[in-house]
Amino acid sequence: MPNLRDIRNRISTVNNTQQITKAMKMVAAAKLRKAQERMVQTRPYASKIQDVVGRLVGSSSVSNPIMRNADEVKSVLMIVIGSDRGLCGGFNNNLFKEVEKSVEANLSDHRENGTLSLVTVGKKAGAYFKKRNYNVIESHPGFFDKLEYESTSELMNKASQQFVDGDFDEVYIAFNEFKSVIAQNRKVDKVLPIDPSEISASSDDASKEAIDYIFEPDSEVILEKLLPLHLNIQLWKAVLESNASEQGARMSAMDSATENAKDLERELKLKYNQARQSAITTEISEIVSGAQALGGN
Amino acid sequence: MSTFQAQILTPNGSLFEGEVSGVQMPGAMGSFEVKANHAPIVSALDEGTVLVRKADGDVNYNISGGFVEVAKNKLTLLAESVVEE
Repeated sequence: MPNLRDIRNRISTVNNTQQITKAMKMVAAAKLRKAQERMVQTRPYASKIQDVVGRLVGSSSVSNPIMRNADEVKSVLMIVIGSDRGLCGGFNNNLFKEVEKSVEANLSDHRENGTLSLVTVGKKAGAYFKKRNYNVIESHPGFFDKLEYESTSELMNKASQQFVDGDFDEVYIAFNEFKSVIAQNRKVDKVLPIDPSEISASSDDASKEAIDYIFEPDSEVILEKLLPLHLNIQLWKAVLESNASEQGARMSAMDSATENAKDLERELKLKYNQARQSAITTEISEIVSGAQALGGN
Repeated sequence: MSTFQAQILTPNGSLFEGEVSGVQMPGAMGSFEVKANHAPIVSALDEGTVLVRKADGDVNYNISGGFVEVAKNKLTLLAESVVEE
């Protein structure tokens, strides 16, 4: 029979855990709101850049170094955006599995030849891929402690420079896209080389009237300056989406943890009461039989 | 004086939005100023100071380079980093 005191201790432990998970859920909810706000704030900038890039890429026959398309893909860079902290359900693992799956499917040669390099953002991503012997050339733990546009643009500028120099022929970004608070989309997107048809296609729906622009100095120079900004905002958007998804994932993970703790507590309370009841029953019957034994005398 | 809509956008959000009478910018080919009813233009900007002429006074912004688009009497300035002076 379970000891009464043991059950009581377990109840208080479960209760404590429940309070912690509940608090973590609240914190994640607050952070989520902030992260979502930041996502919304980048939108006008991003869509304007997309708009102008789409217009320029479609119209000009520019041979920009960033637009280069390698005949043979010799080496690949992948930027994987995970999280710094755990306790967010399958947020990291699901993404990493997706990355491994897409590497297996499309880049397995590069993986074997060691021409697949990884840049990881977030502590969890670095730890996971280093442990599995991926060629992690750069890791950024603690990236989300101080989330700033400058740090992502630095990262992306370096990657695009390496792309221009020919160190890499393709660049991918893997991240969790924010679908809703409880759902994330795992995405592995190719950012370099830039696919002109994709950009012009996505900017098509945004009121694309034929305005006769003056380009100063000329469209090629503008595109040359604009493309890095376009790449930077892509990474920045991915990082922000991932950040919001992480908080959302943590929120729902902590919510279900709280629910589970509640269930467990209910069960334990029932057990505790049963044990208490049976202890009392035993005690009474002992007293009664004791009294009977005395009365018999 | 005739005015037009101007907006300064950064990756961290919109920094300025409102009616202005003119915006002076450090263009890649030299400083220039956009007034109301300017022809549609897309121009690259260098590092420098942007002067925004508002009804209640002028405001200076330092930018790290970027872009400006003017179309249909609306000016949109895009820059990665903008600091108000």
